[in-house]
Amino acid sequence: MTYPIRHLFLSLMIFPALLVSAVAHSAPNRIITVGGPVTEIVYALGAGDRIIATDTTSKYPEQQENLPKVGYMRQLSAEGLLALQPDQIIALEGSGPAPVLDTLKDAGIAVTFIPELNSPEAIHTGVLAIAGILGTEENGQVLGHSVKEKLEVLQQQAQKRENPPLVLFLLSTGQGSPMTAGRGTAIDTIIQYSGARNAATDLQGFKPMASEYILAHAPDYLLLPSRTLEQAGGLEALKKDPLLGKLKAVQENRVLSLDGTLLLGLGPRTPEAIATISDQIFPNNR
Amino acid sequence: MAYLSLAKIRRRKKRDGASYWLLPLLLVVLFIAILLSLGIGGVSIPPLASAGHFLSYLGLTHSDLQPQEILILEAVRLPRTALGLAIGMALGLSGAVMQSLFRNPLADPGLIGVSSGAALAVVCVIVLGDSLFASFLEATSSYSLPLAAFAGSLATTALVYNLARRQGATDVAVMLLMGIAVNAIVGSFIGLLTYIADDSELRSLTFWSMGSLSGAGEATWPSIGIMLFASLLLLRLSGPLNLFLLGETEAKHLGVATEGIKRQAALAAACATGAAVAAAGMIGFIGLIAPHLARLIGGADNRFVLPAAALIGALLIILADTIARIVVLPAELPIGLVTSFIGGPFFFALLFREFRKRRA
Repeated sequence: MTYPIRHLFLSLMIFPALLVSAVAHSAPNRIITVGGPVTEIVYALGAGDRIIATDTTSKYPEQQENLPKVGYMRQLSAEGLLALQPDQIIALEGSGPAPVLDTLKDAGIAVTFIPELNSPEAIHTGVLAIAGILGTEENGQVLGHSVKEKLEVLQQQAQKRENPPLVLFLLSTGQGSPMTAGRGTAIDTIIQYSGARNAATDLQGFKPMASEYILAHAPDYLLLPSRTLEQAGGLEALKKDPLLGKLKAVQENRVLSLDGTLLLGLGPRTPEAIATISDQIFPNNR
Repeated sequence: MAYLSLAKIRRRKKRDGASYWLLPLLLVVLFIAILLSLGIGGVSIPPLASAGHFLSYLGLTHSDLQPQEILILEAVRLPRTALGLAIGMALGLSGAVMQSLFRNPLADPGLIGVSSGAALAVVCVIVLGDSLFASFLEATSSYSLPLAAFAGSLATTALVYNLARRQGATDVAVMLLMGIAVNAIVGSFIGLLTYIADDSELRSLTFWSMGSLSGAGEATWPSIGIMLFASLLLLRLSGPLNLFLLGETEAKHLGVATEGIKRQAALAAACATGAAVAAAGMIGFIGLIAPHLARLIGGADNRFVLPAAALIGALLIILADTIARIVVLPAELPIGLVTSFIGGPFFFALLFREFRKRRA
């Protein structure tokens, strides 16, 4: 009974979709980004307005908070993605599950994987790859080059430091054994490039650190995500902490904090993160 | 215990005539739920249009869907619904059989190590896969998690069953205790592996333990086959299990080959549940709630309870998956969350209603 109306409605909906898919071969206009660093790079390349949805690991920049979230990057839903009518999905390697992304490819949607950004070189190649998809190669060259160059300068500076101080990162404070970041984490890279040594290099990945061990290491600096420091009640409250208050670094106000979205993964903002820490540790010589 | 069971069976005789009527009714309700699950999702395709599409294969109607809508129906929704049906059936039946076998209303296949065994195997593959089982991962690719889960659940069940064996006979009470001990040990290994897992491995584990039907597709067909076969085996046990309700000794005196029944029940339930866990991860609550619902509506005769638990299990999974798919669009909730979120309070309501009825 309502058939003619529905047909009209359907064709109205499908017509723009067809137009979009015709344009898709030149540059995608309805992009879904999966993985925090991917979202960040697309915005950094000035194509943020072409993103229609992101995943829950995307926390930066603030503009993307109003976009629909397609769930956790490894737990995507085929129909949920299809309903958004994307023409391109840019996903960090390891996104999935694989059958879901295969279904999307079957539906004619371009799905591109970006290798994990676990080293400064990977940031460079990742930026270039994403710029290639977006059709913003020039911006990509500029951004990729500047990130690479800044990191190289920082690395050279770091290598020249004598007696690099010991930095201990803690993800949380308070009850239980706090989590620290060992080898193979973005935090390890950030600490090293800022000219310091990671106090947890004998651990691999994120691991809880025993209280005794924290005291025994006697780090020169304590590094915390800024939210953790806020939740602990700031530096003064930290000094009264039964465990951390005993650290010389805390007593002598050598506590560094940095936005958590900068600390947990590498990306285009990594050079700034490293510089911020480095400036605090070596205030007099840049 | 024996007295209670006798009372149940006497009451059953009074209700006998009524309860069998309920099976076709359940089938009709299940059919409506299937239509709903095929017709609801992120992309709006009217339920009637999607039903029309499937009928068009029989030449009955003309399908007027777009290619994209057909892809969603056939590649996304149909495999999910089929997998959900098989899993619900397998979990409901295994739960009903375990409750009769152990004569314990809280029993489920998890008691004999099915779920913990599967979980341990999956944790091993996720956490140690790259370093220790690289060749296994390569040889099995997308089948590696299902295979590991299935093998893990069978191996643990076999271990529990054999530990409970004394001079050729298994005591169900000993089996229950062995199951608890084995579950505790397996649980500690899972904890150890969780400790050494990294962030993304932990996320994978957490999601696996909450279940999801989103893996439905070619890789899940073998699991569905195993579930159907094991379900048939379980259904055949309904007669002897009725006599088990009297007590094991009584059943033996009445001529039931109790050892054979116990072995078949444990093996088939492990296969059914193991395959379900392999295909969709852990989906709690269905194995417990489906048999109880069946008994609440139609009495304790296992010839009714077993098929009814299968149908109710399928119904619950299908409905839970439909909800899981649509509440947080464009993302998706793990189905295990939905089953306990909605199943728990629902179960409460039914129990209280039943108590009130008994008091009146």
